[in-house]
Amino acid sequence: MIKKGIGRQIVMHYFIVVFVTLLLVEVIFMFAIRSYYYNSISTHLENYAAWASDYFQKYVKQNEDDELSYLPDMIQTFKLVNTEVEIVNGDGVVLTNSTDFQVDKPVQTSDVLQAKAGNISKWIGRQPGTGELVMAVSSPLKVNGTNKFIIRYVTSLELVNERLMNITLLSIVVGVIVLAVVLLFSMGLANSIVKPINNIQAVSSQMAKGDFDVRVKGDYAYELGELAATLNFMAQEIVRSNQIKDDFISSISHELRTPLTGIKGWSETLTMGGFDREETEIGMKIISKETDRLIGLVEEMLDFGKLQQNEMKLVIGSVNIVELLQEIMLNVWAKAELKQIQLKLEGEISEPVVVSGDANRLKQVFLNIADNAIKFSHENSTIYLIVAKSAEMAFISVKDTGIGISEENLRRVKDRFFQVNHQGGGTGLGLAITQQLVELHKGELKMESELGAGTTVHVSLPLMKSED
Amino acid sequence: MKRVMLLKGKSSLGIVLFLLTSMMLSGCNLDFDPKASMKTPQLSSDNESLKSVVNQYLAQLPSGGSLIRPTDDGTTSLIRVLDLDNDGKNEALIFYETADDPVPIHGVVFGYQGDTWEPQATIDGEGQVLESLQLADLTNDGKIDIIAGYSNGEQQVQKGLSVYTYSHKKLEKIMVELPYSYYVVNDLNADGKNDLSVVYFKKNEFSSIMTYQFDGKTFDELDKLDLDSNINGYYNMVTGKISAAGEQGIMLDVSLNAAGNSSYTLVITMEAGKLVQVLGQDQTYKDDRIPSADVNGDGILEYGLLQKPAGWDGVALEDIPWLYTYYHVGDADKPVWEEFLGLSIPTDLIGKVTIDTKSVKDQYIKFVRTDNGHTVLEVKYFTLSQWDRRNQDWKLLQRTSDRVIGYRGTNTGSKNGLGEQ
Repeated sequence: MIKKGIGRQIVMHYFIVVFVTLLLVEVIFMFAIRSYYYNSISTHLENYAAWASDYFQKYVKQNEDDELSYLPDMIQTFKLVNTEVEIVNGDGVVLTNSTDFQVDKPVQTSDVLQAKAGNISKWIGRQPGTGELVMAVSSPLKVNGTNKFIIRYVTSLELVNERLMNITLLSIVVGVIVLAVVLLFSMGLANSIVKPINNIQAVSSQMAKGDFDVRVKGDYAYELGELAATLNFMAQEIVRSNQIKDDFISSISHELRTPLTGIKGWSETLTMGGFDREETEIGMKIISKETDRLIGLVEEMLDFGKLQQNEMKLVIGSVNIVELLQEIMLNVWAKAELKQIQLKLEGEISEPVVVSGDANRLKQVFLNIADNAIKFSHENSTIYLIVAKSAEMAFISVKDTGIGISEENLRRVKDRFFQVNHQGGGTGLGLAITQQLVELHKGELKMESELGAGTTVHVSLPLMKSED
Repeated sequence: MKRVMLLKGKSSLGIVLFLLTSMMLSGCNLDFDPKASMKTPQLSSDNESLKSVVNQYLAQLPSGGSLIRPTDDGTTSLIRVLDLDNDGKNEALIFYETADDPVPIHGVVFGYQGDTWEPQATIDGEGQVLESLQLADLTNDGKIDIIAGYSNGEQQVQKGLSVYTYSHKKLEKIMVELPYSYYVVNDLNADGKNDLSVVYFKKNEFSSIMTYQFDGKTFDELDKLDLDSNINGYYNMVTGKISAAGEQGIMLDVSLNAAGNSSYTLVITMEAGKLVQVLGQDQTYKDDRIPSADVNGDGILEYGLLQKPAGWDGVALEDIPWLYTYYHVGDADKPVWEEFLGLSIPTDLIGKVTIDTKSVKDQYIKFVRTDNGHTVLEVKYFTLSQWDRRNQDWKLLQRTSDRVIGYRGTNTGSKNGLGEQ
């Protein structure tokens, strides 16, 4: 039939819901139809019995001399089709009835007792002797205001029950058909959910095997559509980050090889000997400088590693941002001077803007940002460092008028290992580290840029909460 | 393409289902009128087979036959099932008439043979009408005998009583056409054996009561008591206990004129084998027909008298609203039952209520207590239109084509018979 899985479960659920609903409806229907049948019949008998009582009281003349001889006439008068009529006295003794036989035992059913008390009432039970299920309705026949006899109508309910049984069977058959139709529909409906899921599952298992070029095809609605889109996006992202990683490896190899080539070349050259002191000094300086560069690279990677594994420990203290930025300006001054770039500190710098944070790490953040700004600025331009603050946050913007970043690259520039231009050197980790450090300080880093017009980096940091 | 195919598949399935359902609906009879499913209850299989045997028996008669019951008792069933010969197996007794036959009344006894009912013995009735049919052990042999009274259908002609006894699949007629007017079966001489008492009367010629007992071969006349024949007739004969001690007796209600407003009750018992009249016209005369019976259901017979309500002395007899009072034999001072138009006075109030003298017979009757004058019950005569506009606390007592008698009680307690809410 249907193979095990979500499809079968959905069909099963449909089945259970519809089955329970049908069952309840059928049970209620059967009770309703049963009471409809029984009530109709008892009402019919009660009306007739009431008429008989009324007629007897009004028109049947009593002659006490031979009161028993008119009983057969009464049976004739009060008989009702498909019933047995009995005339019963106060002790339940059946005086006469519409059959040809006498009834030996007195009738003591509740309807007779009720009729004795003056009420019309019905009784449902098994007829003694035949065991047939019957309904009996009794009504008093009054003479001179006294209950003289009881007229009792008895009708068999066997045919009624048979008919009720037929209706039950019919309704069960209809129920089964409805259930079958619903099952067919539910299979179709289940398919509309199962097919996309199967498709997505097949694609994702292909992805799990390493094939990230496959995509979930088809336009699915709601959650399934989102799931497919997410999966597609995930595959795309995996491909991209792999690409970045590959780029990183090639660029880091390049980065490592360049200083190592210098170191190796100079160390071999110096090993040959025969150089004067000045030349040797130049060689050694180059070796030292290239080693520094290697150490810088390695430290950057260590930092990044720590950040990745959440092992970066911050030494939190109060840091005056204005002071920090002035320090940064001094640190990069030499570099800026080479490109004739001016650095300007502006904004709310008259008072200290104190944030809570690790001074060294924050310094690293702003050094990196300032360094990038200088790196990508044209000669003879100006870089602005702007400080602002709100009630809870300090805002620092570093604005240059450099080459800018294209919109496409701006989205990826914070990714690890991403470099717009691999010729520029570096690991591509700088901005990623900066971003993570800012986030560690519960701050935010945003970039806006226009290609050819320059870039602005916005850093927001929470202000130190004043102690007062 | 595939989708279109699928849709096609579903719609054809729908058509199949529709056809199936409509087929079922038309096939099954879905008549939702519950009354149409009513059915006469079955007879027991025994009775069913007996009835078909009886019907077959009647159908094979040359001119057909129809079952009859005696004219004096409507409670007799057309087919009586009982053990006539005391052999532990039931027999069935029917009487039927064949209208155009010289012998129009017949009886048949069916016995259960093997696994079916078969006719065993037949009776040819001695008259045109089956007047009476009683089943009692008159031969005192433990077997039930058939007592049948016949007449020629005209009131003046005397009725004849025949007794049949059934044993060994044969019916034996042990009494042939004993002339009678009324008869009762009792044990008047208290010897533990049933006897038969017969009243035979011809206006202004003779009137007597005779008691017979079966001696093994014939019916012996135990005693005969001559009664007054200068009467209009008898209108009721009952037998049973006439005293709390258990003495058996007969009450015979005598009508003195054809108008029926003058009558008395004879009470007859048997003492030392002789029939004795205990009460007669002197003690039981009344200006109305009041049938004797066990009216209060205590197992002892009562005779009725007319009672003038207290305080109505001096009023013309025809203006008095008479009460019916009933007495036990030998206790003429203490009525045990009192009623007015069938409305009974609660036993504990007998003698303590009367009819208010301002009441007008056939218009408005008010019952008051003699001790405190409180109204107990009111009876009022309405025209039909008045009755339709009546206050709802009036209950129907009697109704004729032109008037209605209603009553309302304030503290009447229970009535005789079945009681009432």
